[in-house]
Amino acid sequence: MKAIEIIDLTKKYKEFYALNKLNLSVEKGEIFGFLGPNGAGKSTLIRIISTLSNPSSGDAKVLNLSIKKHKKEIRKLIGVALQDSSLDPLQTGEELLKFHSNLNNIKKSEIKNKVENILKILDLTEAKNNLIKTYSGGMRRKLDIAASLLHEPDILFLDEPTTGLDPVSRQKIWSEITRLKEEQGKTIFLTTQYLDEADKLADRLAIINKGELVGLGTPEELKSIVSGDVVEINVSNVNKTIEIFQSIPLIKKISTNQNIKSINCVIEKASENIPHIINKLSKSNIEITKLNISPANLDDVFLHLTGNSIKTKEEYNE
Amino acid sequence: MSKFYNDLYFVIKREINAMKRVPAATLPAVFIPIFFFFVYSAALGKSTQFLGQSNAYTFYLPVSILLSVSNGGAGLRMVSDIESGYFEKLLLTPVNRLALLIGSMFAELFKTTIQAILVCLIGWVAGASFGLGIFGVIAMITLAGSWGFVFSAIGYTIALRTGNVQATQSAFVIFFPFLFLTSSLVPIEAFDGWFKVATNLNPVTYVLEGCRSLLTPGFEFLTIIKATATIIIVGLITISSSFIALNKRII
Repeated sequence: MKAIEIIDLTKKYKEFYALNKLNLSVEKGEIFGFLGPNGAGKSTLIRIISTLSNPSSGDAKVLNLSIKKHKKEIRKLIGVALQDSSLDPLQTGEELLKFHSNLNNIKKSEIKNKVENILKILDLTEAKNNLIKTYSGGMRRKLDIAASLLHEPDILFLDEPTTGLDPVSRQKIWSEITRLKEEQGKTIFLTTQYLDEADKLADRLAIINKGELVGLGTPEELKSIVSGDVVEINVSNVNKTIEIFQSIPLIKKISTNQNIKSINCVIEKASENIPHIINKLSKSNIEITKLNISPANLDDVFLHLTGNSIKTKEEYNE
Repeated sequence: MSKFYNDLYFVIKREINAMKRVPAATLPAVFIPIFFFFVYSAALGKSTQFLGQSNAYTFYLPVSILLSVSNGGAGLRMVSDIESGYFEKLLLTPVNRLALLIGSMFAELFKTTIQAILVCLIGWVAGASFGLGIFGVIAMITLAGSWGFVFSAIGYTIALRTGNVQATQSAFVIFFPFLFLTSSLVPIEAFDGWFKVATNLNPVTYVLEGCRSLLTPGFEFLTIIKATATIIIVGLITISSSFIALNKRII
């Protein structure tokens, strides 16, 4: 059964298309990643599917209910943790969860146990009586997810769940997402701009750029689009090397950085073919100062599909 | 308990908890009216005696009480929820939308009533007299609190319409000129010309006169009816505006 079905969904702000005729579906019980750079339309999509915003045209169905006609019913079936973990800073963690339990019509007799349980699972018991304004970014994010899970929704929407978090907090959130899928069979729809996050967590991925779907499949399927290994090579003569590379059919997607005399390219079966290529370069008296071969990652896929890199500033700095 | 009352209760509880945690946010709303109360009583006390008012403290106390109930920063918590995104988080729950607004307004009423009681106590200590006894005081606080409630709807309307803290804070600026186009400084009988016309057109005049009448001996039925009718009419406008603004904010 399909958990989410998106049909020709468009969101237009004046002349700008935040989403343009998007079509995709998410199966029940899978972690579906929605990958794209800032401003690609990821949050817009979550806001529309979670009933916070109306589409300009098209429709989406959540567990077969149209977002246009069944907003109230859909809200009972979904949990949403929006970007930035907006919570009430003047409540304690426990108060916030009890408040949300009451708003979600959870039986009074079940609230205490449910809240204690979720605080324990998310490792927040010690901080439950502290005001939320004293929580770290990771704690807030976990509390936000906890509040979204109280009414046991079938589908959980997570909008950039680890943006701005330290590596330890990111790992904890990742473990929790995986646990929710494996132990509770939740369908999880997460948006991210982190390639490693999408690669590690998602069963299937959609890649979005400027409001349009540019790729869809499992991370492995998407990586196979690049069909080859990514090679970075630093040489003494860049122009001559490019000439040689262009004459070899196995070498594709050649790009250069003249400043550091570096060439990036994709080579089919690089480990087998690289010795011949090195041989050719040495015959032309070209000195190789650095050679790096790596399997294609999702950034290479994004580069292949859009001509741009998706890497965030943090990832470039790393 | 129906869903509306259930949600209303928990929204009010959340708001009152927040008020208890930041008492400093309530202090300016008490301090400024008390400051005006003492300044007016000291500076204009003699003039009001000349105009037939025997006790300046009694004359100026309702002004300060109206100032305090209209100076509560109504809508500021809601606008900060909107700015932070928490309001959307609440909209994603099956919470009764109307309870979100009315609950916040009732919490505001609770706060302004406490402020009015504090101002009243200070007025009493300073020497204001209560001609109708404790009944008059309770009736005056109820009248002033009701005015604070309908006035707070302006703050909530601005909060919901703009989602902007600065704009919401400006709600008090709307009230300030209205308070001074009344008999706040001298008795209404002393007015003439355009000021008299403006005062008669100003709804705050009737609320102020109603509050004032409840502090002086002799129950002025017509004055109370006028004040109550004014609050109902203004309330119909401001509360309807806030409901419309809420509907525009949610989809």
